[in-house]
Order: sequence, then C-alpha cells, then structure tokens
Amino acid sequence: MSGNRSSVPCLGAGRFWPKPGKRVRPVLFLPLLLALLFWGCEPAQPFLPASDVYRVDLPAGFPEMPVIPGNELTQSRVELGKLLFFDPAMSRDRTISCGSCHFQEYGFSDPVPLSIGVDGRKSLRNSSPLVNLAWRESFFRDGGVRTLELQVLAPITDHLEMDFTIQGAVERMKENPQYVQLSRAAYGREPDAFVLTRAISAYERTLISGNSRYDRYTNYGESVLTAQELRGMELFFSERTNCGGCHGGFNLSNEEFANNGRYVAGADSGRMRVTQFEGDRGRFKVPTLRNIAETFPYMSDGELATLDDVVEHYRTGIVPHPNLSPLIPAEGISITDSEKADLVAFLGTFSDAEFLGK
Amino acid sequence: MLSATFIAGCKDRDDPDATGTVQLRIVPTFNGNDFSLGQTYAGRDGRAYRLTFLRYYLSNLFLTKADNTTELLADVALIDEGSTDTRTVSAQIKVGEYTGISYGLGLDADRNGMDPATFEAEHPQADVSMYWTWATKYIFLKYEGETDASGTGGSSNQTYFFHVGGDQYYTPVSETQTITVVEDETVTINIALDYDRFLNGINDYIDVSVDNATHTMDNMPLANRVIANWADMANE
Repeated sequence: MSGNRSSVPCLGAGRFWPKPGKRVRPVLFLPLLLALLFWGCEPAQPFLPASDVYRVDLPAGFPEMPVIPGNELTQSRVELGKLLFFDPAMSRDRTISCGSCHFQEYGFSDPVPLSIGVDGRKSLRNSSPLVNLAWRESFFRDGGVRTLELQVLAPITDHLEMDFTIQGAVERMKENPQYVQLSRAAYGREPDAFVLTRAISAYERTLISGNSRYDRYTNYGESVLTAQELRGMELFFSERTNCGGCHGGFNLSNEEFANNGRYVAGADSGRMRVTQFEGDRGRFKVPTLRNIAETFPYMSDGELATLDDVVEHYRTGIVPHPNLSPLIPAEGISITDSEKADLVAFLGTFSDAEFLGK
Repeated sequence: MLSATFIAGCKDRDDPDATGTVQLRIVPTFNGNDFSLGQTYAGRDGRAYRLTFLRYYLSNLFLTKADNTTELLADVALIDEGSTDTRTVSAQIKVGEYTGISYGLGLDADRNGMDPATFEAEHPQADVSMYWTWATKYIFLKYEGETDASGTGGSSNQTYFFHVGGDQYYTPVSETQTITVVEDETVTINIALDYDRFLNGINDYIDVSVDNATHTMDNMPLANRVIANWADMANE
C-alpha cells in the first residue's frame, strides 16, 4: 500500500534529538520520540489506512480495475464522492446535482432525450449512462476528455448544465463541515479542485455492472435466458448483424468511434469536434450496452425512444455517409420482424437488477 | 567579526550563485496608445475598438546569454488585462550580462496536457475559465471586444471574440535586449505588446465585421489568422 507512514526518513532529520551529552532517561524518551515522529513528520502523501481500502467485487470476465495513482479507491473517497455527486449545491443555483441527470434506476442516465440544467436549459447531447467507467479510455460521446477526473470539470462549468465555477463549488465544500472532515480523511488536504475531481471520479468508478442474466449465462452457464433471448444472442454475434463487432467484449463496447448512419449531415459533428479530422465527422463513441433496456432514449441526441426503434434504424434507417462504419451494411441489416423481436429481447438480458437497485 | 567576513564573502563579484531581481513587465499598447481594458482606441485601420476581455498565457520565459545559456524567469504566466497586476513577473536571476528574452505565446504541449485540478488555486493553470473542459485543453487566448462595424464613428455595435488554443498554436518569441543583472538589485525589463496587432497584423488584416467569432474548433481558419497576428504584437 503506498502512502503508509515510514519512520526512517523522519529519524534522519535528527533535529528533535537531544543534544549530545545530555542525559535522557530512555523510558521517558521513547514515548516522546514516538509522539514527535507522528507530529513532526506529517506525510506528504495522504495516509491510506488499510481499513479504509475500498474493496471492489470484480465481476467474472472483467480485467483488473486500473488503479489511478493518487486516487486509489478508499471508502472515505467514495463516500465523499457520492455525497458530492448527489449534492445540488455543486450547481450555480443549487438546483442540479450530477444525480439530477444520472438516475440509478435508468442505469445512471436520464430518461429524456436532452437533460435539463439550471434555468431550464437543455443539454447538448443525451445523458450518458455511468457504468464501468474505470475501464473506459475516454469520456463523452466524442471522447474529448481523457480522464474521469477531468470529466468532472465539464458538467459543473457547462452553462447548459450546472453553470457554476470550480472555485465556487470548492467554496461551498469548505462551508460544509462534513466535506472538510471527509476531504482531510480521504486526501489529507482541505477541499479544493483536486479533492472535488478525485472524489467524484472515485465514486463513479464504483458503479460497476457485470451481473446481468447475460453474464450469468455466459460466465456460469446458468439457464437464465429464454429461447427467444438465445436466438437473439446468436443473431447479435453473427455476421448477419455484426452487432457484436462493435458491442463485444466484457463491457459490450470496443471503445472505438463509429458512424452509424443516422444523418447525412447532422448538426453535431461528433468526434470531429475534438479532432478536426473530416474522417471523424459524425463518429461517436461506441456505447456500452450494459443495462441498455433501461437507458432509453437512445443515440447521442436521444431521438430514438425504444430499442425497437434502434434495431429498426439498423434495419431500414441507415443513411449513406462517407464515414459509415464498415461493419454496418449501407442497405441495413437483413432480418425478419420476428428476428428483430429476438434481438430486442436479447438486449434486455444486459440489465443488472442489483446495479439498477431493483 | 566572523559574520561580517561571511557577508563580505557573499558580496564577492565572482560568486557564481549571486542573484539579482529581474522584473519582467508587459507594457501593453493599442496602436501607439497606452492600453486599458474598456477604453476605446483607433486601430490602424481607422476603426474604433473597445476590448472588453483579454486574457492569455505566456510560458517558458527565459533570459538568454550570448553563449545561448538561459536562466528561467517563469514557467508560466497568465496575463489578465482585467487585473493589471498580472502584467509583472519577478524572479531571482544569476548576476551577469544577458542579451535577450525568450518566451512562448500560449502553452507548450506538456503544459497544455496538465490537469488544472492539480494546481494550487492561485496558480495560473488552475484557472478553469481558460480551459475547455469538454476537450481537456487550455485556451491560450481569450480576446473579446466591440467595434463600430458601420465605420461611421457611432456606437460600438459589433462584438467579436477569439478563443484560441491547441498544441499547434504554441508560438516561441524572442527579443534582443541587453540586460545586466547586478547582485541584490532589481532590473526591470519591459516587453511592449501592441494589442491592435491581433486585428491589424503585419501581413493580415482581420475585418471583424466579417470574421468575428472563433472557439478554434468551430472556426479554425480564423483561429490560425489570430495566432499569426498574435506573434506580430511583439514585433515592432
């Protein structure tokens, strides 16, 4: 465990030792020395007591969770982050928290096409589900943000969302004795931008979903899928639909950016907004399908209301685009109505009741 | 007696570690006039301009010697014309003769990749208003103003803004100046910057009645022109 106190460098400083030649009774001196060790050598690194470690139950089939230096998961960090996540005081007018647009029962997304921020302003894109974020390589639908810590800055300062300043949010943390106490316990410092961004991302990393019926079937061979769902699964991973080509792996996303033929020229240039590369026009992060039946509505603009609409889009709604994913046939996937129903039924098996609080 | 000798020893002119204070001052002008935010000035094109917001980063500020060795003045500075005390940067610099100043407009790629939440609140790079949170990159320059686009000398009715940043826009600049740093003394270096040059560049004129808005990503051609003109502000 990094960050544990070490007595060796403290002794090296030596200035608390009595002067040579002065007699000190050892029995009295030892407790004094120990007291000085702890008082005089405040560790530069936050103290991470073993009892505070946050233990993650890694679902079967998941790779090890990456550890972020300086933001290793601890109970106090996660506790602080959860309080901040659900605290509307982090918005300018104290009306909107992170949780206002990321509801647990909807897979930590929002069941409206575009979420409402302060003063009734509509967000630019559909609220993304928050799940298995520790393994994601970039954030937002255009992948513009490199780390989960940095992601925290965006909704707080976006004038369409929480419309506040980081300094303002930190001042409100300092006014709250519970936040001050937890900041010290979790990070060994007073509330500041570091604590704010680290704590919220620490909490978000604990939103892990990997115990759906699909997982139980796949990892443990439990007979929990219906015949229809099994037919849908076969279709999903077949070359006829290629769904699994993008939505495969433990998190049901290949972490790439793809154009799925929604528009010829949409107002939202997607990944190109970040890279300025024409080949990225209309490409968006392939979303995870975890809890997908609960994270409606769909697509970056939230314009598809149901999973039935989504599958229908891949069947009959593909519009030609120079950047269309090569895994998506321009003429759409060729499936019957009953096969479509099978696919939709299979998508429902990604729902993780425990994660959704159901 | 001992201490007197000790101090005298420090005063030795040959002491290689002796330092003096170097104070670098940004002295802004607008087409020959002393500049203040919110005042109206005539640009070289004859149009009246009033700047309402101006903030920008300088980084890697060094003094250079004839033998090309350098001494660091500051890693990074955020000049905020809304707070004129940000125009001065001070540092302890080794005594000697210096022949020039070098600095970069904006932030180099390493600095641009840093996390603003890891800086102390007072640090120039902790300012999230100079950061695109959705792209995790710093905004090197925010230049906003008003002009009378009709050219009749009437009220300022056209607003314009340039928010520019990106690794490719980091622009090193150097100036020749003879600077003598003397132990325990303060020497002041002035860098004159002409803010009219953003519009009336040496090689390019930005007509804000036509080109008046860029967040960089949404108008790269204008961002490129603003950055080219930015370098002109120091080239008089």
